[in-house]
Amino acid sequence: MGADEAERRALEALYVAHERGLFNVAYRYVWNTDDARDVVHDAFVRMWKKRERIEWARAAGLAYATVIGLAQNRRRSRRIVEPTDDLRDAAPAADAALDAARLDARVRHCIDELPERLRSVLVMCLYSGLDYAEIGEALGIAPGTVGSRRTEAVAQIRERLEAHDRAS
Amino acid sequence: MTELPDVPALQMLEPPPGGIAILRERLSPRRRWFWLAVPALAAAAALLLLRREPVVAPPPSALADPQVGENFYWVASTPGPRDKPRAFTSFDDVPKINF
Repeated sequence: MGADEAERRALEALYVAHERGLFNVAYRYVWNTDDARDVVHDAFVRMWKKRERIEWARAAGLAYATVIGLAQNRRRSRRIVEPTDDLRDAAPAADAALDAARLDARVRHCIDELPERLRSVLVMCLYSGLDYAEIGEALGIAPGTVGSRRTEAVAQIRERLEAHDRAS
Repeated sequence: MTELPDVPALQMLEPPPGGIAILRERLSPRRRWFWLAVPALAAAAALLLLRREPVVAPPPSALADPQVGENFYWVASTPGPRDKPRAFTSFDDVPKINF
């Protein structure tokens, strides 16, 4: 087995192990299944081009960081259709399903409104399966900062949801 | 994460199936044949340009001058001055000089 083939297998193993987490992280930026999958594939193609400099056994953090960077770019390059609080002005909720849909849209809006330094930490904590040290290494911050930013992100989302409830 | 509501926006989603096959396809060198078309098209365009008929420039406009000759045409836009001294064109025309 050649070196290139060994690296190809290592890359595919990384993809299989983290596809779900990477897809979910990308999805929270682009809110679209096809775009999220494209972003993940773009990240792996980019990593493949730089394979000489990659240590595949420790490349999970790099994969997440690359996916986040590309997802940010894609998010900026097209207008994201964001759900807004206009739902509040719609007809009064007639059933639980509509209430759930409105809450879902508000949560999504809250994630969109988070500053990037909090959103990247929150989505990695939620979906990557990496510990604070690995997330910190991927994002270039200390593990303690990962914890504090995660707490801050959750607090901001809860605060906005409660503010919305009080207003309505 | 219990601090946040359990809504689809936060739930773990399953990626679409077939992701690894698409990734293999994107990493496959067979994709690169497409880029060979670029220099091929450029070479074909250069050949077409080189094999085109040369563009013939239109003849310069000429002015008929019957005072000089019936079929004489000035190629310049205006005739030159008539009082200009005649130019010698051969040694026979040179005036003899006595030293």
